[in-house]
Amino acid sequence: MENNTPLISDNELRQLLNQFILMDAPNNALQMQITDMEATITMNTLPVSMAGAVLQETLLRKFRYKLLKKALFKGLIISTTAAAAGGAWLTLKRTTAESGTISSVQAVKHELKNALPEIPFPTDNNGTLFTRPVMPLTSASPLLPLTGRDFSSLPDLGFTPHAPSFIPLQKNLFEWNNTPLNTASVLDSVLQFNNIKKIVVNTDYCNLSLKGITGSNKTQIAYKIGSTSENNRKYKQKISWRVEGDQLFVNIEPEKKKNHFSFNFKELEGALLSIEMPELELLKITNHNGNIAGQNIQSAMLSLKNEYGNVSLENTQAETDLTLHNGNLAIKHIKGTLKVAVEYGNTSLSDAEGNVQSVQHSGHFSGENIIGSCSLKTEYGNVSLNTLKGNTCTIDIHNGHCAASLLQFDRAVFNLEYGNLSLSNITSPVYATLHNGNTAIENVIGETTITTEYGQQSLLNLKGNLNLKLGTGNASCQFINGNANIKGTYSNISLSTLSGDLAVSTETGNISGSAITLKNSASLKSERGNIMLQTTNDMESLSCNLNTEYGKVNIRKNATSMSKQNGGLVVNKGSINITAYTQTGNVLLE
Amino acid sequence: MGPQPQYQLYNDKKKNARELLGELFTTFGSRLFGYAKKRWTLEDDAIWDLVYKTLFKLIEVRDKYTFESAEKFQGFVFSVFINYLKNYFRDHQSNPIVQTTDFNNENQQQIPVEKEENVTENKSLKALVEVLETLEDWQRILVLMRSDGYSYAEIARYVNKPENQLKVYYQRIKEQISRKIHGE
Repeated sequence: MENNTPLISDNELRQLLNQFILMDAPNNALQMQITDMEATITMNTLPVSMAGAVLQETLLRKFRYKLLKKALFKGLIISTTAAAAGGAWLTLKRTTAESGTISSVQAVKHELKNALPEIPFPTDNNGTLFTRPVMPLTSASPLLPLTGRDFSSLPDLGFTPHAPSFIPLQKNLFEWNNTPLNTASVLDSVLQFNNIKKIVVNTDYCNLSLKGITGSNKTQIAYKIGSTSENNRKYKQKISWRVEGDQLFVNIEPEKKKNHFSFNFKELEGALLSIEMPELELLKITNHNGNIAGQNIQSAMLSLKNEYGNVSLENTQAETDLTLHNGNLAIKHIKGTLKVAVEYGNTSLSDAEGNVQSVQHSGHFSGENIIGSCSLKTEYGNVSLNTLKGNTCTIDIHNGHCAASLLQFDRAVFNLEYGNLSLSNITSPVYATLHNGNTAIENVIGETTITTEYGQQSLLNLKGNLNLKLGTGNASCQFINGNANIKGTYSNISLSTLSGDLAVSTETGNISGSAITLKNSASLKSERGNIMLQTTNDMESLSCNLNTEYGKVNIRKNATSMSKQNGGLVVNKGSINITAYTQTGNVLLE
Repeated sequence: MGPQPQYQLYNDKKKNARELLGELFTTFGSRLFGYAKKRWTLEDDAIWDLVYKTLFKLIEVRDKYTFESAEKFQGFVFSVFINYLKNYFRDHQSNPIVQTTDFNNENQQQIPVEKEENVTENKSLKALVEVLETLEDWQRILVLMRSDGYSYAEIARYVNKPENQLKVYYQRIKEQISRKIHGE
């Protein structure tokens, strides 16, 4: 071919093929065959661009909605089930609770919703630990490839970075199943107090209902004490109260202390204590065993300690301090600083305004719609976050995964000892330190800094510089708008579609870059491995110094074609410097 | 016994439609999305709409088709998807945009694909078709995969040819097409 005929580029070729595939040409055998081939390639190779875990959840939701719509209009779902079953929509529940009726449209939707297929979410080795699809522990999942392209296709170096081994999560995280609060029980007595500003409650085995009221300064206490166990053994309790100024003290305790040890408290029906209170300065609850449900509490300070039992709070406005030993915690709509300590149990927090500090020993934490800085620590358990905004976000997990999306912080820090990190749609500089776990990050605006010991890295669509320090594990980076500074030890490093500068080095492993648009320079170094760089820059703008001690150096770019065995090639043309060095391996510049 | 292959589930006309939808979504949803996302600059929602349409279509026509292999079923799924993609561009009367290698949202270069037209009216397309017609199957796969950014090593596994040979063939094919485009 003559030198003056420009060679069609891969992109142009692809563009033509796309045109051909979409071309309206009925019964064109060639077009059908090309489409078939395209299908085979698409279906049998890992998709390059994947939806992230959280995005997938959103899409799954949409998919169900589509199913619903489709079913409504096309009658795809023929049979429907009765409307009153559990698992209904929240809105429906609310409607039922408030008015006791369900409109016909809602009923139909409800029936159809129940009839929709349950699309299975991926689970990890320990069963379904997440309520949304999360990155599985193995890289074999077809849904979330951790490494993008198959690295095994790179030339064999006689070396395989071993996959990290994970310490499995605790299989049976504590799940408290205490008797739900029975508000229908007949209460023994009702007490009323005026102008109370501080309430201190100490109870032993008791279910508590706390309700804030407005427009009144009356505090009302209703109680039913003395519980009966399943085997009809009486557990006698006594209640006492006193008022000191604007403070009310309430105690519920056993009549005889020895009874404490003669009952299995799980069998108890539970005493009941219901408190309706106006806006307070202090509400302090200490309970040994029982569920606590709070609604519309307004207090300057809220302190709540529970030894065994679930705690739920709704519409709370207080500086809140919660300590649970065994039990789950559910908080919805809270305003004010929140401090949580849970020993064994899960925490779910949604619609919070205020800084959040949580320490958990064994249990998952899920947070949604939080405005404020977050500091979350878990020893054994996963953390899932969605839609958070604030100054700083610090997540420390010893043994568990972290999945987060839609975060907007000045600084987001993730420290994971054993577990995977999955982030998507982050507007914040990200600092992640993982000892043993994979990372999948996509759609980040801000600098991304990751340090890992063992694990695979998958990074997609970053706007900002990328700093990676890898121990053992491969890295796949796609669509980066910024500089990449990557140091690996035993790592194959693959870069695709990057606009910026490169400083990439690895001790053992291949370095490959495709569709790289360099601004100033690229420095690539591998002690043992091949280096391939495909840049979109014109050869005239490049100056290269490419070296290998044992291998072949090739430059095949535009009209330039050079090759050398066991040595170096130097080209001085433009202002963009490319240096590449490998001790053992080939170097290719395209 | 392992899980039943998708095409067998599809062939099973007694299989519950809702369950089948779920199965198809799990198997093909992400792949079709990944394909369209990579190849065409469309909004995620638009792509998922096409994926959903494809899956519903598959359910709608399930009584009419039976497949003897997974490959044939995959091909069918893909063809349905491609048809919806065609319809999408036709209905929106917009040219599909092909992503260039320079990914930069602010300064993204996008090359609009020329509107559908007869091959004879499009010189480049005509040149491509002429060359494709002369190629063997494995060479066509080479063109499809390499132009899509697959490494030669990956392609070599597909077509069972030495990697170095593939580079040469690909280069020659591109030269052939270039010559035809420029009327040499």
